[in-house]
Amino acid sequence: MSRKMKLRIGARLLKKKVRRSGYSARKRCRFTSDPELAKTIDYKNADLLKMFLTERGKILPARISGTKAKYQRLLTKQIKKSRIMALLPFCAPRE
Amino acid sequence: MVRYETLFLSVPEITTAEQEKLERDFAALIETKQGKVKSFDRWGKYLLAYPVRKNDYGVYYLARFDIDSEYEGNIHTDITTYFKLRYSELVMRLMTSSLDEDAPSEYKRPQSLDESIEGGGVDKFIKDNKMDDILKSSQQSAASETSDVSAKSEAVEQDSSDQTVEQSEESATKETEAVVVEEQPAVEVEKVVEEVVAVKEVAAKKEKVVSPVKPSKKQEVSDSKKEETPVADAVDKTDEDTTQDQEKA
Repeated sequence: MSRKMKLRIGARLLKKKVRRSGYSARKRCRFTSDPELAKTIDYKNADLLKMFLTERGKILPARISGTKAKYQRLLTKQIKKSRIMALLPFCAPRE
Repeated sequence: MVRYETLFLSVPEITTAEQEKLERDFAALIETKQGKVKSFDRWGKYLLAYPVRKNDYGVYYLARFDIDSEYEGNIHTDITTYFKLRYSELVMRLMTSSLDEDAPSEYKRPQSLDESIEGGGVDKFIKDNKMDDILKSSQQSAASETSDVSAKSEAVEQDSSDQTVEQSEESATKETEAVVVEEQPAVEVEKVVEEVVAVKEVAAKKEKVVSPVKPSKKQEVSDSKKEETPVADAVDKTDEDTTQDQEKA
């Protein structure tokens, strides 16, 4: 990153710029590009749903995972169902 | 006709007789709704994400069935009340959900504990997760460690390190030739690691042997320096005195 930056710049804008330049790959929705994968969103398919949980078992927000709103709604419902059946943890998976 | 599925989570100690009774009773219940059970699958034993009724493990069953659209509204409550009353000790959780008409019969589910044990254990796990590269890299790192340590130690030990390198190379070729023979490289890796440990111990011993000698030498040298310096100062002083005397004269 040898690009010159203006000295008189707001701290927030600077952070934004650094963050944008830092990430090489853009996040994108995995289901819009692959409709077959979208069909497998199901409360029984815990292996797929696990990818959309944080380390502590929280549901990843769409703004981080990049999932489109339509599929995010589906995912959250199925994850919550899966939690009831003890396939996924409510919080902090066991070690 | 409306299609549904029910997922049961039962206690891990469930017997085959109890399982058959569960299946029969469920079919009878569905028949009262003028429906038919399409499938009743046993998923197997699972480690639960959190303990349910103080059970760490559980057995899942998935039943799929069609019922007449007349009974559509009450099916959820009917099934849950039936099993909560009669199978309160056996079935821990159950969930009934509706399916689309064009929903495929195949579905994906996480791997159960029984499958993971039956399907070849560790070897299958390594194959499935494509971890062959990790084994190879660990061998290479072990070989490099042996070479580094042996460079510091004597030539006799270098021969042993060469042998280990040869062994690791042989194991690498074996892996490329046949994936079936995966246990031998693991054994060889253990050998290499043991040898590395042995070489390191020898090196550590040598250092220990050498280390007590060095400080003593240093002390002697420092002592001698200390002894020499005052004498030299004295000599210098005497020289200065003599020079001063000469000037005075």
